[in-house]
Amino acid sequence: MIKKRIIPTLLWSNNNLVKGKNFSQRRQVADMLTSIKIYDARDVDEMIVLDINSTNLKATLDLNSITDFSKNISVPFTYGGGIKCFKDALDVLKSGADKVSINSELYNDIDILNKISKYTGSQSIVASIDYKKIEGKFKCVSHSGQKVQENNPIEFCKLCQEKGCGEILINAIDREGTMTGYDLEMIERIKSQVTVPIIVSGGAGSYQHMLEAFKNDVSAVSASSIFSFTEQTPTGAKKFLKERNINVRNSYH
Amino acid sequence: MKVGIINYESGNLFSIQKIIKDLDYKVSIISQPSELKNFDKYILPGVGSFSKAMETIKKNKLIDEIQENIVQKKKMLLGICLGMQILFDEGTEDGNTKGLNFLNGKVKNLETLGCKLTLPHIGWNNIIIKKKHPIVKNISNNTDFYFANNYVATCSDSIVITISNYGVPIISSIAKDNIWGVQFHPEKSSRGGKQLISNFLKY
Repeated sequence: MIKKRIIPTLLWSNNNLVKGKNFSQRRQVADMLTSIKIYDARDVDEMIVLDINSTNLKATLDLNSITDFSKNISVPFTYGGGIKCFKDALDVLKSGADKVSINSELYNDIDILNKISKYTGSQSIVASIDYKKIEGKFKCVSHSGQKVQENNPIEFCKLCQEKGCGEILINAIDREGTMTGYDLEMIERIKSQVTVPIIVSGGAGSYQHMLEAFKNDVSAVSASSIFSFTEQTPTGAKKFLKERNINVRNSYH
Repeated sequence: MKVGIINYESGNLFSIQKIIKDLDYKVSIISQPSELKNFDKYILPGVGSFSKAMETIKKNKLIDEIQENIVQKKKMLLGICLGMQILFDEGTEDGNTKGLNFLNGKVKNLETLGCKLTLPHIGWNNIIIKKKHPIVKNISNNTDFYFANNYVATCSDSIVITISNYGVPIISSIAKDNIWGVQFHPEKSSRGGKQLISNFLKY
């Protein structure tokens, strides 16, 4: 039986692990590679690394760092940030990431998904969709929370699935860093419309929040603040969830 | 002993290379057909589509050398994910494509096999050991491994070592003489994966 996954998301900025709230007020938390090594030693299910500078600055991808990260991760590793074309995506995969997460480019050329999918298979592509409520309406937001798009997040998830993504990472900006719980209502609405695995992000503040998300049948929960600013850990989360009959992965023994 | 990772532009080779190095074996990535003969054991990795993989292997003129070293000389081979799937006769991704034909069986879409769960099959899934074999030495029944696939192999029970369940039973590892294969990614499966690769290298 497939296991529910708990995925630490690491926001990367100038070689540091940073953490924000509602996509702003970012502060440095730790050295990136050290954090990766610690998570790997703790045998987490998977890691997501998002380079939050690369979208806004017209920076080239730091493929050497992606390779360094990859060499220190013995579980699946998703990289996102600054992927502007098919070639960028392939470069990231060849540099050692197992999956690429595409966000801002989706609004420019959604066909990037099927281009990558044809080449590597859909399992290597994560469509990353950030959204927030603006004047009572849910809207997708790109460019690290800077650019509001006209797309409705639910409709956009459906479109990304049609175009060939293997997973969807859905992130509620209004919840990010608030530790007030995931947007369960949105999860339910998306789950009723798409069939690819959903990774939910934005708002985890306790193991209970993760439990609620899994009860809404997401495949994975992603979290960062909870692991950076509290005593709670992925291992602790698994213990809690297992006791409540969520099927999580046991560490190797 | 020298281990060769057969490169046919099939994505990330760092993880597997690193594990083999960590286990203290000599390892290189093989890109030229003429280099193949210099190795004792081979890893055939792979992500992507069956037809694309076969096309690239043909284009890079790797087939004859793989055949020579694996079928005639009977050197050990471990196929991973798509690298295991192309060991069979035929794939059905983007129409039917002939595989390397080292093993009898077809590779089919999970949906056509009756799987009604979320696809792709992505995540950690446990293996159920059906037969004792060196590939699963020191690995307990129900250990979780990382999978990322839409397609699976279908073949005779005689070569099946482990299965997994994802709506339908999935063949998760196979072995026939010197040819071993796993549907999951041991190089992404933390300590359990490292144990499996170590089993292959030590055998």
